[in-house]
Amino acid sequence: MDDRPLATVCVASVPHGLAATIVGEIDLSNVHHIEQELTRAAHELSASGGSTLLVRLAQTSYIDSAGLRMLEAVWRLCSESSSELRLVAPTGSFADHVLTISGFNRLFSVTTNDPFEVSGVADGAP
Amino acid sequence: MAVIVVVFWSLDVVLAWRTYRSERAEIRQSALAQAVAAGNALEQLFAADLQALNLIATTPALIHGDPASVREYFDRSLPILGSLGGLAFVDLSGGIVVSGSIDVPDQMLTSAVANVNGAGSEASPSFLDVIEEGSPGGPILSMAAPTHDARGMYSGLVMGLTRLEDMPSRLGSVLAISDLKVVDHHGHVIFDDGAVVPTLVVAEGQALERSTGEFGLHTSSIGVLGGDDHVVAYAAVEPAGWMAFVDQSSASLYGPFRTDLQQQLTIVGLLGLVALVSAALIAQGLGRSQAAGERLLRSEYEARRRAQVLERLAAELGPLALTGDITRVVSALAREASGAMHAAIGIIDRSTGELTLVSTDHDPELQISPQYGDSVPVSARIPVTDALRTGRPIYLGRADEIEENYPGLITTAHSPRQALAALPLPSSSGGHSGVLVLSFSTAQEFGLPVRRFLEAVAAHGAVAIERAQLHELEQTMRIEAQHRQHDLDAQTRLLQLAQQAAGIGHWTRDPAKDEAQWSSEMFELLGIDHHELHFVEAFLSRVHPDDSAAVNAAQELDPDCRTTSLEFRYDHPAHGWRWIHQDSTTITADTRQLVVGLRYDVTERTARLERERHRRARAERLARVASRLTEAETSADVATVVNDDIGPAVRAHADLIVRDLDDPARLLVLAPEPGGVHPSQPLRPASPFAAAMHGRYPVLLGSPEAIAARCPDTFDELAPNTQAFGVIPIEIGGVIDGSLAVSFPDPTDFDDELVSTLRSMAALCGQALARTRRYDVERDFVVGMQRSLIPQVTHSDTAIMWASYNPAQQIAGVGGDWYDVWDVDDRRTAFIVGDVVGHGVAAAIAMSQLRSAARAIGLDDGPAALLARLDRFVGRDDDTWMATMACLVHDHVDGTLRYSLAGHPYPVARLGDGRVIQLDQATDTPLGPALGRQRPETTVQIPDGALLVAYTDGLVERRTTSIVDRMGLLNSLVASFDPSGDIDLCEHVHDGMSTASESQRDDIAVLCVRLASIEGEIIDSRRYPAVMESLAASRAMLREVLSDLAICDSDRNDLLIAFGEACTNSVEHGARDHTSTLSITTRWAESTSTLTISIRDDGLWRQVRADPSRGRGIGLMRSLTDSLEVSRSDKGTTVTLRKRVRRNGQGTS
Repeated sequence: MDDRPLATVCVASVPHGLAATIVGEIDLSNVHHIEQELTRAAHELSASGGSTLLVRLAQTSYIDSAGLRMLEAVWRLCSESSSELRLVAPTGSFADHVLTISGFNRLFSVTTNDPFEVSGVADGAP
Repeated sequence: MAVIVVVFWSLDVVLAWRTYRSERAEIRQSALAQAVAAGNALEQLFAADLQALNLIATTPALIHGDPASVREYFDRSLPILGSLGGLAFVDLSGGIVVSGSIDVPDQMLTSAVANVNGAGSEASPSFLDVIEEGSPGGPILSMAAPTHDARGMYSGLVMGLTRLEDMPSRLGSVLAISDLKVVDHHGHVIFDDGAVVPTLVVAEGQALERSTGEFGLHTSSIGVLGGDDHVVAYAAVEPAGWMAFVDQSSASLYGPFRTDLQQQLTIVGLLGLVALVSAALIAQGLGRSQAAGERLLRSEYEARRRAQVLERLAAELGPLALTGDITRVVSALAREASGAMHAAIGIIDRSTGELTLVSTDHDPELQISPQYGDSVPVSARIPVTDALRTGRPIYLGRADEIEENYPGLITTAHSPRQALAALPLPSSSGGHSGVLVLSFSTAQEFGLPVRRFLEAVAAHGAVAIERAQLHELEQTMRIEAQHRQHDLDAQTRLLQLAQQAAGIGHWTRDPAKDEAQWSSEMFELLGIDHHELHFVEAFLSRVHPDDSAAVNAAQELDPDCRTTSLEFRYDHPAHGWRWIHQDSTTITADTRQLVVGLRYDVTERTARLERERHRRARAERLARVASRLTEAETSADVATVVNDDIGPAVRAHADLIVRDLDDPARLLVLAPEPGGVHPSQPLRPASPFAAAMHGRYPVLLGSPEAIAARCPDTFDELAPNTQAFGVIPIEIGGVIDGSLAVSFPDPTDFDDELVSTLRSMAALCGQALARTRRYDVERDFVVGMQRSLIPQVTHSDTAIMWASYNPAQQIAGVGGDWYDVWDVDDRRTAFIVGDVVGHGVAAAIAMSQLRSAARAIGLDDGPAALLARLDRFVGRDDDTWMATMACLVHDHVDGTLRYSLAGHPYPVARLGDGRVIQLDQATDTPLGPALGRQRPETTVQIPDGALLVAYTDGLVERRTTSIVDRMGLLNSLVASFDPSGDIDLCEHVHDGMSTASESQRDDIAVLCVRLASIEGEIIDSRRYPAVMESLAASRAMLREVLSDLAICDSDRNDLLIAFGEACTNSVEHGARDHTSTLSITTRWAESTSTLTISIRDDGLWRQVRADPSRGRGIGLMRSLTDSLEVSRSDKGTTVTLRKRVRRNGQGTS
């Protein structure tokens, strides 16, 4: 097994807030790490006065119930600081599948299209 | 002379009147009490009126107002005075204002002014007086309050006026006594009709019984006047002289009494008249003799002598009181004065109606008539009787006259008489009471003076005799009355003594009048003051509300005159709640119906009975405790008895505490469930347990204070609300090794009885514990041995298995049950359940031998052959024993089950279609000495997924339920089992079969098998360390498998999610330590396009129940797959996911 992390989180500024792009798989083994990253982003957002935390799940190839629980916690955190958590899960993506089955799509604000996607480079990766 | 007679007689009449009274002491007492009340009421009335008057007197309107405004003020003020009939204002400067309904003549008010002025500066602020003379409509009571001017001088007087005739009703309205009279200070009784009658009773004043100064207004007295059936009680307020009279007799005193009195006064008057007439006659006679003095010296002498005789007669008769003395004096003087030979007096005997000679003078042998002796019928024709009948004197002056009128009278007499006079004695009732008869030895002229003299003597004598007779009658009656009074007093006193001795009070109630009378004991008994006016109400108000209906009912008349007994609770003013017993009945006295009753205090008796009942109940509970303790076989049984029986027996919570045998420095609280103990606690030296166990004596703390003082540390450990606490050491096999801890919810007095009860119970517990400890040791050994010999079952690829061994709660049932599972070869698995008959160590050893023998023999030749070999094994020596056994062999390749039963309960199987069957074909006798014959064997087809349950008889045998019913219950439990549920089949069966009402008396071994339903071939089987980092690797493995099979994306994602959740659960909850592993097997069935993935871990998943996230994971797994099964065993948990999938290139439908 290689040492590459199971998932990476990349946070970038977008109009009115921040966008976090998660590439890889989320399970019990790394959910804590990702929660830390998103929490930090949420605090940054709150400090900068932004209104929206966009979490891009288009390239998230696996997410389990522990991951959903983590998203729920981040959503709660954003609600407390009056900012909005929005998930980006394109139709047919794994995240779209999980969110639909678990009913979380009714809890979160989920969009299938990334509003800030620029010329196909939405993840902000170099 | 005449005056003396009148006074004399009037006193006699009063005395005679008094003897008419009957003796009713209660009436007197009651009248006295009412008189006290009347006195108080009088005082209150006057005080209230005077207060109101003072109020009016101090108003400025009276001092400065003109007459018109004063009158207006009076008109307004009158209502506040209420009972007063009028108001008057006397202006000391002369002006007079009168208001109200009573008109008082001006001159009377003027005299009142004069009275005030006469009193001068000492005028009392208030006084009472009566205005009598000239007032229209009878006497008026006035009360006065002085008014002052600005300098403080008397300027006027406000007077309150009441007609005396209104007083009885005024007092009556306060007292609720109707027969009330008011007497003014002149002794006048004021009647309701306003009549004023002078009363001798008051004037006499002899009957005052006591005098008190109880009333504050003035010096006062109360008393009882008169006698008995007419009892008059009075209360007098001095010095104004107001008296309230209470006439207790139902017939008004002043009705019959007045008539009586008048009648007797008439008698007195008549007698006086007689005396006066006599005196006049005497005077006349004297006068005439004086006039003829010169001519008739002798006559004069005679007349003077007669006058002297009459004087002597009057003088001598005066002090005499006896008829005999009077007649003797009268006859002697009459003979002397008339010069008669003999004189005699005959009196009519009221009892015989005959005239009896009571006194003769000079010749005691003189008879009235020789024919009759000393007594003569009034009808006889002789001079004395004729005079008596006609009422006129008979004078016969010569012998021939006598002979002519009464032939033979002279000659037959002892001595010849020449003249005779018979004078009737007039009686006060108008007739004649007797005759004075005189015999003369010489002829007599019987001139007018002589006749007048004789008649005067007769009259004197008659009066004296009648007085004497009355006096004697009165004396007789008085003595008789005294005797009766003494008898009654003695009886009353005896009754009182008896009542005092017995503490019994009696009461009488007249429902018609709503009157009640109590004996003084009754007041004592109920703690009610003797002067309490409304004592019955005071009593009823203190009766317990729950009892008052019955008490009230018993106060009423019962037409059947039955005796009612009841007991009621009574709130005694001094002693609190008491139990009072009452017997009452209805009696008829005269024409009235009365309820009479007795009451006495039975609190002590009731309390004694109550204590006795408690003692008996406690003894019964003790006996029950003893009996239950003898049945106890385990320490837990003893703890149950302590909790369930000893605690309630002493109304407390009881715990059994014993020394921890593994660590003698610690204590265990034994719990009622089998083998259940609370965690042991160190035995602290300061604790009461240590004190009791070291000191060998009970530690008894009767109150929270005592507990806090003795063992402050222990307080928090006691049951909540413990108010008293006791620890009684328990001796077990000669050593103090435990204690009985008792927590009371109330402060408790540890009396001898309670302590001895607790000691007895502790001793019984000690004996029981000594016995159960031996049992406990043996049981623990056998159970331990049993458990060590019986294998743990685990899942295999072909079957999921659960098994349990539950030892019996009693030693009598432990030992001999077992089960065993082993793989016969690649395709066959053996399942064995057996039960060696018997219990204890021997049975456990026999079981271990049998189990080893079965393993050694093996099942190569099938179950019947094994059982046959075991028959020979069992019977190999003299030490034979019997056992039952079920032997089953499953072939998971061809899906068959071969079995043979040796006297064993039928195993149960659930087939694929849900049908439950009993495996009851190949049955035979229990294992035993070799019979040398074949045992039966049969084979049935069992599909994948079928359930098998084999067990020992303890599961289905219960004392109270038939085995058929228990089998039916087992079948239905197996039928209803849900493989995907939270509990395994073994638990499911145990929970369903256990009965709360009956303890388990026998071992129970249960072996449950679910034959795996495996579809397809294993296409992948791997093991991973049970760590989070394995999750991604296992997913990678599955992706690879799914990709190879070209599963469509949607199903692929579903399976990835479900699989991921299952693995997460296993890693999270199933990993015991770092050596734990995760076994993942994937099967593919091409024909049905079904993928089956099983994930097995080492853990129990027990702690996850409270974690809500697990619910989410399980929910996801269930919704994303076609079936989900979770099976647990002691070795771990297996999750099996199955899903029919679509493959790329297949149709989208």
